[in-house]
Amino acid sequence: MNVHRRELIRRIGLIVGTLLLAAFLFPAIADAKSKGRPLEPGEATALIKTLGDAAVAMLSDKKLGQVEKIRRFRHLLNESFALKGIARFALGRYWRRADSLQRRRYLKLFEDYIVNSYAARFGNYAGEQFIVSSERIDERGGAVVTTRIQRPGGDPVKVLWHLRERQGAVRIVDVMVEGISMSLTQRSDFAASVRTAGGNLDAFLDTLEAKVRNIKPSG
Amino acid sequence: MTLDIKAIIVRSRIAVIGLASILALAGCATPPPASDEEAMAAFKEANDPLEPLNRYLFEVNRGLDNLVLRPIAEVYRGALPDHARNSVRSLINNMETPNIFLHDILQGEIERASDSFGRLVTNTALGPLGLNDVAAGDNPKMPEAGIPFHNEDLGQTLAVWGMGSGPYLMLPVLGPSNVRDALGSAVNFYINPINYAVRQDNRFWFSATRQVVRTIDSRSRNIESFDEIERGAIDFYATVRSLYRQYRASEIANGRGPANPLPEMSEELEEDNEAERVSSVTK
Repeated sequence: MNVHRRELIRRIGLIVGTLLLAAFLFPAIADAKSKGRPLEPGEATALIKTLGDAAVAMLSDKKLGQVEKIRRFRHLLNESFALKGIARFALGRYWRRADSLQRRRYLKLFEDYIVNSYAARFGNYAGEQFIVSSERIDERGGAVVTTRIQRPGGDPVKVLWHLRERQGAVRIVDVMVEGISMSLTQRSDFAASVRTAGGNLDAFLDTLEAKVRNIKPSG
Repeated sequence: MTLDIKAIIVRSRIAVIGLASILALAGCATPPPASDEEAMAAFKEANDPLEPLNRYLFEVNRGLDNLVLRPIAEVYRGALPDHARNSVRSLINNMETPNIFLHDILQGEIERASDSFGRLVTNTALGPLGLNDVAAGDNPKMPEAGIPFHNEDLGQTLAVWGMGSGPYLMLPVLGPSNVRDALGSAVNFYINPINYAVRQDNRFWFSATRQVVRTIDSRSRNIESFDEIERGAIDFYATVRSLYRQYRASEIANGRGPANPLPEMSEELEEDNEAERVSSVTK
């Protein structure tokens, strides 16, 4: 009994020691990781302008079929957005629990989910103008580009684009529409959905898959 | 891209609902075991202890919206040309402006108070009577030229004074709120200067009518965006809850600073070194 206890204490000591060491080292690691290259002024604006022009060109081209529009949209999405990061953020704590098979399935579904959500709205395009108004570099070296989407006859919508540099690429990490973060809203939706599924990630992924199929625009 | 969330949220300014009776009715959400720290953190973040009751009322409100509000909003939109609807909105906003001015002052926002005052004078005199928002300029070529409308209310003032929001509430008919905002709406009835423009026995109906008109007008501007959000959401209730929170946070922050910053601990955004591309499509 005594031997066991000593063994137990030794193990606990080892675990606590490792944890302390990790706690000491980890912030440094996390810090090094989270620091991308600070963006140059104008860099983010140029990217958003290019994206806006490409999106407007795609949406207003009446000769393009829906399939081709979706293909172009998917390309823009992957080029301009930190899609994987946004997907991970949207799944929150459940991402860490997911195994690699679930992660792969989720990432694929997430992309299709975004593509299908927006593809259903391609037809609603009515000559909206995309105007870049200003840019701000934040204290962490990321950039926030302020744009206005002017609807003909409607109220303008203010949209903020948050960009960061990671692994050599400048990408969008969040879009804020009139003060509301799309990433955060998605995260709340998903968190509640996984909870409704009793924390069962596979059940959530089934629901997500059904949603993706449901919102798929016809044609 | 045309999500105009502002008015999706049917806000309440005349909350006459007895908060106490709701609380008494309430079934409570079961908190997760304290040992599950992450689940506990998520539970606190949702800040929705009355969730089962709130979800029920949300469904009731959706039913009412389908049966009453949405059809009326569609008829209103179909019957009135855009400029007439804009006049309705300008008029309602102008009547609210003395109250907004008051709350600008109470929040120590002198510049915004002077904006509100200028808007009130200009639109009342030249609108005329607030029937056109001439102060905002409404020039699509120079959107920064005018002074656009901004909203303030007692809920926002209390927040600026440091009061927390309290649990999330879904009010019957009136829609999403929280303890602070519901309290604010109810008490603001007695503060709003425009309510003293009519005799005491007409005050309630005056206020209620303004609220009804405002609700119909803003619903008519969001029929499609609301549908889009509903279609895209997996958990519509949780999505609306998040939208309401963020919308209020952004109103309270008066558009300054990151009202809703992405949580900085979002290590999910940083986790691995793989390329960010998900799909293999190429141009």
